[in-house]
Amino acid sequence: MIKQILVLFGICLASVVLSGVLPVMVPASVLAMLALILLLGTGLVKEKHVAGLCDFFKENMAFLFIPAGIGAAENLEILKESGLELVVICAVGTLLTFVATAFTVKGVLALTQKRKEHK
Amino acid sequence: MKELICNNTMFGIVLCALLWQIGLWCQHKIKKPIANPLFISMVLGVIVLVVFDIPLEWFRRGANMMDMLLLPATAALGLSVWRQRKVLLDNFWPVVIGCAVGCVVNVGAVWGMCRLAALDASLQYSLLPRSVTTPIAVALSEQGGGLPAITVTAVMVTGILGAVFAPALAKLLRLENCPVAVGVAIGTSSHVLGTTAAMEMGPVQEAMSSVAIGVSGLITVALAMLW
Repeated sequence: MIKQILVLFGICLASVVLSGVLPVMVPASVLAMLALILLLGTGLVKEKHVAGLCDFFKENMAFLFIPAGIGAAENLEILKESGLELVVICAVGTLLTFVATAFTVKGVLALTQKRKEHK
Repeated sequence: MKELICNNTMFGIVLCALLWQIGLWCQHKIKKPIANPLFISMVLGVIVLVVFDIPLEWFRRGANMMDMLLLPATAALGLSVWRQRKVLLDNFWPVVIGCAVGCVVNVGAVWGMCRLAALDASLQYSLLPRSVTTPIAVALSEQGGGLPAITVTAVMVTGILGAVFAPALAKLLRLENCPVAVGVAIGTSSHVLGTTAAMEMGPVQEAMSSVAIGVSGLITVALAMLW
Protein backbone atom coordinates (compact mmCIF):
# COMPACT_ATOMS: atom_id res chain seq x y z
CA MET A 1 0.00 0.00 0.00
CA ILE A 2 2.84 2.43 0.82
CA LYS A 3 4.33 1.66 -2.60
CA GLN A 4 0.98 2.61 -4.19
CA ILE A 5 0.91 5.86 -2.20
CA LEU A 6 4.45 6.58 -3.38
CA VAL A 7 3.49 6.06 -7.03
CA LEU A 8 0.12 7.87 -7.09
CA PHE A 9 1.05 10.77 -4.78
CA GLY A 10 4.43 11.00 -6.52
CA ILE A 11 2.63 11.51 -9.84
CA CYS A 12 0.46 14.16 -8.14
CA LEU A 13 3.51 15.97 -6.76
CA ALA A 14 5.18 15.99 -10.17
CA SER A 15 1.94 17.33 -11.69
CA VAL A 16 1.69 20.15 -9.13
CA VAL A 17 5.27 21.17 -9.97
CA LEU A 18 4.70 20.87 -13.72
CA SER A 19 1.44 22.84 -13.50
CA GLY A 20 3.33 25.66 -11.77
CA VAL A 21 6.11 25.69 -14.37
CA LEU A 22 3.99 25.43 -17.55
CA PRO A 23 3.31 28.76 -19.29
CA VAL A 24 -0.31 27.78 -20.11
CA MET A 25 -2.85 27.04 -17.41
CA VAL A 26 -3.42 23.30 -17.03
CA PRO A 27 -4.54 22.21 -13.57
CA ALA A 28 -2.53 19.59 -11.68
CA SER A 29 -5.48 17.18 -11.52
CA VAL A 30 -5.76 16.94 -15.31
CA LEU A 31 -1.98 16.63 -15.67
CA ALA A 32 -1.89 13.89 -13.03
CA MET A 33 -4.63 11.93 -14.79
CA LEU A 34 -2.82 12.23 -18.14
CA ALA A 35 0.51 11.30 -16.51
CA LEU A 36 -0.97 8.16 -14.97
CA ILE A 37 -2.42 7.07 -18.33
CA LEU A 38 0.92 7.80 -20.03
CA LEU A 39 2.94 5.86 -17.42
CA LEU A 40 0.54 2.90 -17.68
CA GLY A 41 0.81 3.11 -21.46
CA THR A 42 4.60 3.05 -21.50
CA GLY A 43 4.65 0.21 -18.96
CA LEU A 44 6.71 2.23 -16.45
CA VAL A 45 3.84 1.82 -14.01
CA LYS A 46 1.93 -1.48 -13.96
CA GLU A 47 -1.75 -1.66 -13.12
CA LYS A 48 -1.00 -3.61 -9.93
CA HIS A 49 1.23 -0.75 -8.70
CA VAL A 50 -1.74 1.59 -8.32
CA ALA A 51 -4.94 -0.48 -8.64
CA GLY A 52 -5.78 -0.90 -4.95
CA LEU A 53 -5.39 2.76 -4.05
CA CYS A 54 -7.03 4.06 -7.25
CA ASP A 55 -10.05 1.82 -6.79
CA PHE A 56 -10.35 2.94 -3.18
CA PHE A 57 -10.36 6.61 -4.24
CA LYS A 58 -12.85 6.04 -7.05
CA GLU A 59 -15.27 4.15 -4.83
CA ASN A 60 -15.18 6.93 -2.23
CA MET A 61 -14.94 9.95 -4.51
CA ALA A 62 -18.30 11.49 -3.60
CA PHE A 63 -17.48 11.31 0.12
CA LEU A 64 -14.36 13.44 -0.41
CA PHE A 65 -16.52 16.22 -1.87
CA ILE A 66 -18.54 16.81 1.32
CA PRO A 67 -16.25 19.59 2.68
CA ALA A 68 -16.20 21.35 -0.71
CA GLY A 69 -20.00 21.21 -0.78
CA ILE A 70 -20.39 22.51 2.75
CA GLY A 71 -17.88 25.27 1.99
CA ALA A 72 -19.86 26.27 -1.10
CA ALA A 73 -23.15 26.34 0.79
CA GLU A 74 -21.52 28.70 3.28
CA ASN A 75 -21.66 31.44 0.64
CA LEU A 76 -25.21 32.01 1.79
CA GLU A 77 -25.21 35.77 1.13
CA ILE A 78 -24.55 35.26 -2.56
CA LEU A 79 -27.17 32.53 -2.68
CA LYS A 80 -29.73 34.76 -0.97
CA GLU A 81 -29.14 37.51 -3.49
CA SER A 82 -28.99 35.60 -6.78
CA GLY A 83 -29.40 31.99 -5.71
CA LEU A 84 -32.43 31.29 -7.87
CA GLU A 85 -30.77 32.64 -11.03
CA LEU A 86 -27.65 30.65 -10.22
CA VAL A 87 -29.51 27.36 -9.78
CA VAL A 88 -31.68 27.89 -12.87
CA ILE A 89 -28.67 28.79 -15.04
CA CYS A 90 -26.74 25.76 -13.77
CA ALA A 91 -29.71 23.43 -14.30
CA VAL A 92 -30.61 24.61 -17.81
CA GLY A 93 -26.93 24.84 -18.81
CA THR A 94 -26.23 21.31 -17.57
CA LEU A 95 -29.31 19.92 -19.33
CA LEU A 96 -28.45 21.57 -22.67
CA THR A 97 -24.79 20.53 -22.43
CA PHE A 98 -25.76 16.94 -21.63
CA VAL A 99 -28.23 16.66 -24.51
CA ALA A 100 -25.92 18.37 -27.04
CA THR A 101 -22.94 16.21 -26.07
CA ALA A 102 -24.82 12.92 -25.98
CA PHE A 103 -26.46 13.39 -29.39
CA THR A 104 -23.25 14.68 -30.99
CA VAL A 105 -21.40 11.55 -29.84
CA LYS A 106 -24.27 9.37 -31.01
CA GLY A 107 -24.38 11.13 -34.38
CA VAL A 108 -20.64 10.97 -35.02
CA LEU A 109 -20.64 7.31 -33.94
CA ALA A 110 -23.37 6.52 -36.46
CA LEU A 111 -21.48 8.39 -39.19
CA THR A 112 -18.18 6.58 -38.56
CA GLN A 113 -20.00 3.24 -38.43
CA LYS A 114 -21.65 3.91 -41.79
CA ARG A 115 -18.25 4.75 -43.29
CA LYS A 116 -16.76 1.54 -41.93
CA GLU A 117 -19.61 -0.48 -43.44
CA HIS A 118 -19.11 1.35 -46.73
CA LYS A 119 -15.49 0.25 -46.81
CA MET B 1 -16.11 22.22 25.97
CA LYS B 2 -17.44 22.90 22.47
CA GLU B 3 -14.04 24.16 21.36
CA LEU B 4 -12.36 21.07 22.83
CA ILE B 5 -14.63 18.77 20.83
CA CYS B 6 -14.79 20.74 17.58
CA ASN B 7 -11.53 22.68 17.23
CA ASN B 8 -9.21 19.83 16.21
CA THR B 9 -8.26 17.95 13.05
CA MET B 10 -10.41 14.89 13.83
CA PHE B 11 -13.75 16.69 14.17
CA GLY B 12 -14.21 17.63 10.49
CA ILE B 13 -13.38 14.13 9.27
CA VAL B 14 -15.58 12.39 11.86
CA LEU B 15 -18.46 14.74 11.09
CA CYS B 16 -18.17 14.08 7.32
CA ALA B 17 -17.97 10.31 7.86
CA LEU B 18 -21.04 10.42 10.10
CA LEU B 19 -22.98 12.60 7.63
CA TRP B 20 -22.02 10.21 4.81
CA GLN B 21 -23.39 7.23 6.75
CA ILE B 22 -26.65 9.11 7.32
CA GLY B 23 -26.70 10.03 3.62
CA LEU B 24 -26.25 6.39 2.59
CA TRP B 25 -28.97 5.32 5.00
CA CYS B 26 -31.40 7.88 3.55
CA GLN B 27 -30.53 6.76 0.00
CA HIS B 28 -31.23 3.17 1.01
CA LYS B 29 -34.57 4.09 2.59
CA ILE B 30 -35.89 6.61 0.05
CA LYS B 31 -34.57 5.01 -3.17
CA LYS B 32 -35.20 8.17 -5.23
CA PRO B 33 -32.50 10.02 -7.21
CA ILE B 34 -33.08 13.15 -5.10
CA ALA B 35 -31.82 11.17 -2.07
CA ASN B 36 -28.24 11.63 -3.26
CA PRO B 37 -25.95 10.87 -0.28
CA LEU B 38 -23.61 13.78 -1.06
CA PHE B 39 -26.49 16.25 -1.29
CA ILE B 40 -27.98 15.00 1.98
CA SER B 41 -24.57 15.13 3.71
CA MET B 42 -24.00 18.70 2.53
CA VAL B 43 -27.36 19.99 3.68
CA LEU B 44 -27.10 18.25 7.07
CA GLY B 45 -23.52 19.50 7.46
CA VAL B 46 -24.55 23.11 6.94
CA ILE B 47 -27.44 22.64 9.38
CA VAL B 48 -25.11 21.14 12.04
CA LEU B 49 -22.58 23.97 11.70
CA VAL B 50 -25.28 26.66 11.86
CA VAL B 51 -27.39 25.14 14.67
CA PHE B 52 -24.41 24.41 16.94
CA ASP B 53 -22.74 27.67 15.88
CA ILE B 54 -19.48 25.93 14.98
CA PRO B 55 -17.00 28.24 13.17
CA LEU B 56 -16.11 27.11 9.66
CA GLU B 57 -12.38 27.34 10.52
CA TRP B 58 -12.76 24.60 13.13
CA PHE B 59 -14.51 22.32 10.65
CA ARG B 60 -11.90 23.20 8.01
CA ARG B 61 -9.01 21.85 10.11
CA GLY B 62 -10.07 18.28 9.38
CA ALA B 63 -11.94 19.00 6.16
CA ASN B 64 -8.79 20.40 4.52
CA MET B 65 -7.28 16.92 4.65
CA MET B 66 -10.18 15.57 2.64
CA ASP B 67 -9.84 18.44 0.14
CA MET B 68 -6.18 17.51 -0.22
CA LEU B 69 -7.19 13.99 -1.29
CA LEU B 70 -9.28 15.30 -4.22
CA LEU B 71 -6.13 15.60 -6.34
CA PRO B 72 -5.03 11.93 -6.11
CA ALA B 73 -8.70 10.88 -6.36
CA THR B 74 -9.08 12.73 -9.68
CA ALA B 75 -5.74 11.34 -10.87
CA ALA B 76 -7.00 7.85 -10.02
CA LEU B 77 -9.60 8.23 -12.80
CA GLY B 78 -6.67 7.75 -15.18
CA LEU B 79 -6.78 4.06 -14.30
CA SER B 80 -10.43 3.82 -15.46
CA VAL B 81 -9.41 5.38 -18.77
CA TRP B 82 -6.47 2.98 -19.09
CA ARG B 83 -8.65 -0.05 -18.43
CA GLN B 84 -11.07 1.10 -21.17
CA ARG B 85 -8.37 2.24 -23.61
CA LYS B 86 -9.71 0.04 -26.39
CA VAL B 87 -13.17 1.64 -26.20
CA LEU B 88 -11.56 5.08 -26.16
CA LEU B 89 -9.36 4.45 -29.20
CA ASP B 90 -12.30 2.92 -31.09
CA ASN B 91 -14.38 6.02 -30.36
CA PHE B 92 -11.70 8.70 -30.37
CA TRP B 93 -13.34 11.27 -32.69
CA PRO B 94 -16.90 10.89 -31.39
CA VAL B 95 -15.54 11.54 -27.88
CA VAL B 96 -13.44 14.59 -28.81
CA ILE B 97 -16.09 16.16 -31.07
CA GLY B 98 -18.79 15.48 -28.47
CA CYS B 99 -16.75 17.23 -25.77
CA ALA B 100 -16.05 20.20 -28.04
CA VAL B 101 -19.72 20.66 -28.97
CA GLY B 102 -20.74 20.26 -25.31
CA CYS B 103 -18.27 22.91 -24.14
CA VAL B 104 -19.39 25.40 -26.78
CA VAL B 105 -23.07 24.79 -25.96
CA ASN B 106 -22.36 25.20 -22.25
CA VAL B 107 -20.52 28.49 -22.61
CA GLY B 108 -23.07 29.77 -25.15
CA ALA B 109 -26.07 28.80 -23.03
CA VAL B 110 -24.68 30.28 -19.82
CA TRP B 111 -23.63 33.46 -21.60
CA GLY B 112 -27.07 33.81 -23.18
CA MET B 113 -28.93 33.20 -19.92
CA CYS B 114 -26.71 35.67 -18.02
CA ARG B 115 -27.55 38.27 -20.66
CA LEU B 116 -31.26 37.46 -20.47
CA ALA B 117 -31.29 37.73 -16.68
CA ALA B 118 -29.20 40.92 -16.96
CA LEU B 119 -26.70 39.63 -14.40
CA ASP B 120 -23.65 41.79 -13.88
CA ALA B 121 -20.36 40.92 -15.56
CA SER B 122 -18.59 39.53 -12.49
CA LEU B 123 -21.41 37.03 -11.94
CA GLN B 124 -21.36 36.08 -15.61
CA TYR B 125 -17.61 35.35 -15.57
CA SER B 126 -18.10 33.35 -12.38
CA LEU B 127 -20.67 31.12 -14.07
CA LEU B 128 -19.15 30.62 -17.53
CA PRO B 129 -16.62 27.92 -16.53
CA ARG B 130 -18.95 26.12 -14.09
CA SER B 131 -19.16 22.82 -15.99
CA VAL B 132 -15.48 21.87 -15.57
CA THR B 133 -13.53 20.53 -12.63
CA THR B 134 -13.04 22.96 -9.70
CA PRO B 135 -9.35 23.94 -10.11
CA ILE B 136 -9.84 24.86 -13.79
CA ALA B 137 -13.13 26.63 -13.13
CA VAL B 138 -11.70 28.80 -10.34
CA ALA B 139 -8.64 29.78 -12.34
CA LEU B 140 -10.75 30.71 -15.40
CA SER B 141 -13.21 32.64 -13.23
CA GLU B 142 -10.41 34.73 -11.67
CA GLN B 143 -8.85 35.30 -15.06
CA GLY B 144 -12.11 36.79 -16.40
CA GLY B 145 -12.83 38.87 -13.31
CA GLY B 146 -15.35 36.54 -11.67
CA LEU B 147 -15.69 35.65 -7.99
CA PRO B 148 -14.16 32.26 -7.05
CA ALA B 149 -16.67 31.67 -4.23
CA ILE B 150 -19.60 31.88 -6.66
CA THR B 151 -17.77 29.69 -9.15
CA VAL B 152 -17.15 26.97 -6.55
CA THR B 153 -20.82 27.10 -5.55
CA ALA B 154 -21.93 26.87 -9.19
CA VAL B 155 -19.52 23.99 -9.87
CA MET B 156 -20.96 22.09 -6.90
CA VAL B 157 -24.58 22.81 -7.87
CA THR B 158 -23.81 21.66 -11.41
CA GLY B 159 -22.09 18.49 -10.20
CA ILE B 160 -24.89 17.54 -7.82
CA LEU B 161 -27.54 18.19 -10.48
CA GLY B 162 -25.55 16.00 -12.88
CA ALA B 163 -25.09 13.19 -10.37
CA VAL B 164 -28.76 13.25 -9.38
CA PHE B 165 -30.43 13.62 -12.78
CA ALA B 166 -28.00 12.19 -15.37
CA PRO B 167 -29.10 8.54 -14.98
CA ALA B 168 -32.77 9.50 -15.38
CA LEU B 169 -31.94 11.79 -18.30
CA ALA B 170 -30.05 8.99 -20.06
CA LYS B 171 -33.11 6.78 -19.69
CA LEU B 172 -35.51 9.52 -20.83
CA LEU B 173 -33.46 10.17 -23.98
CA ARG B 174 -33.25 6.41 -24.65
CA LEU B 175 -29.46 6.37 -24.56
CA GLU B 176 -29.05 3.14 -22.58
CA ASN B 177 -27.71 1.32 -25.63
CA CYS B 178 -25.06 3.97 -26.19
CA PRO B 179 -22.84 3.98 -23.06
CA VAL B 180 -20.11 6.01 -24.77
CA ALA B 181 -22.51 8.91 -25.44
CA VAL B 182 -23.85 8.81 -21.88
CA GLY B 183 -20.35 8.78 -20.35
CA VAL B 184 -19.05 11.66 -22.45
CA ALA B 185 -22.21 13.69 -21.81
CA ILE B 186 -21.94 13.21 -18.04
CA GLY B 187 -18.24 14.12 -17.88
CA THR B 188 -18.68 17.16 -20.12
CA SER B 189 -21.78 18.54 -18.41
CA SER B 190 -21.00 17.77 -14.76
CA HIS B 191 -17.29 16.92 -14.24
CA VAL B 192 -16.08 14.61 -11.44
CA LEU B 193 -19.27 14.71 -9.40
CA GLY B 194 -21.36 13.57 -12.34
CA THR B 195 -18.76 10.87 -12.93
CA THR B 196 -19.62 9.38 -9.53
CA ALA B 197 -23.06 8.64 -11.01
CA ALA B 198 -21.47 7.29 -14.20
CA MET B 199 -19.51 4.80 -12.09
CA GLU B 200 -22.74 3.19 -10.97
CA MET B 201 -23.91 2.85 -14.58
CA GLY B 202 -20.95 0.79 -15.84
CA PRO B 203 -17.22 0.73 -16.62
CA VAL B 204 -17.57 2.22 -20.12
CA GLN B 205 -19.65 5.16 -18.85
CA GLU B 206 -17.14 5.68 -16.03
CA ALA B 207 -14.10 5.70 -18.31
CA MET B 208 -15.70 7.90 -20.99
CA SER B 209 -16.87 10.31 -18.31
CA SER B 210 -13.33 10.46 -16.90
CA VAL B 211 -11.86 11.13 -20.35
CA ALA B 212 -14.46 13.84 -20.94
CA ILE B 213 -13.44 15.68 -17.73
CA GLY B 214 -9.91 16.08 -19.04
CA VAL B 215 -10.81 16.84 -22.67
CA SER B 216 -13.60 19.31 -21.76
CA GLY B 217 -11.35 20.99 -19.22
CA LEU B 218 -8.70 21.63 -21.84
CA ILE B 219 -11.26 22.78 -24.46
CA THR B 220 -12.84 25.17 -21.95
CA VAL B 221 -9.39 26.62 -21.15
CA ALA B 222 -9.00 27.30 -24.88
CA LEU B 223 -12.53 28.79 -25.11
CA ALA B 224 -11.77 31.08 -22.17
CA MET B 225 -9.25 32.91 -24.32
CA LEU B 226 -12.22 34.19 -26.34
CA TRP B 227 -14.27 35.65 -23.49
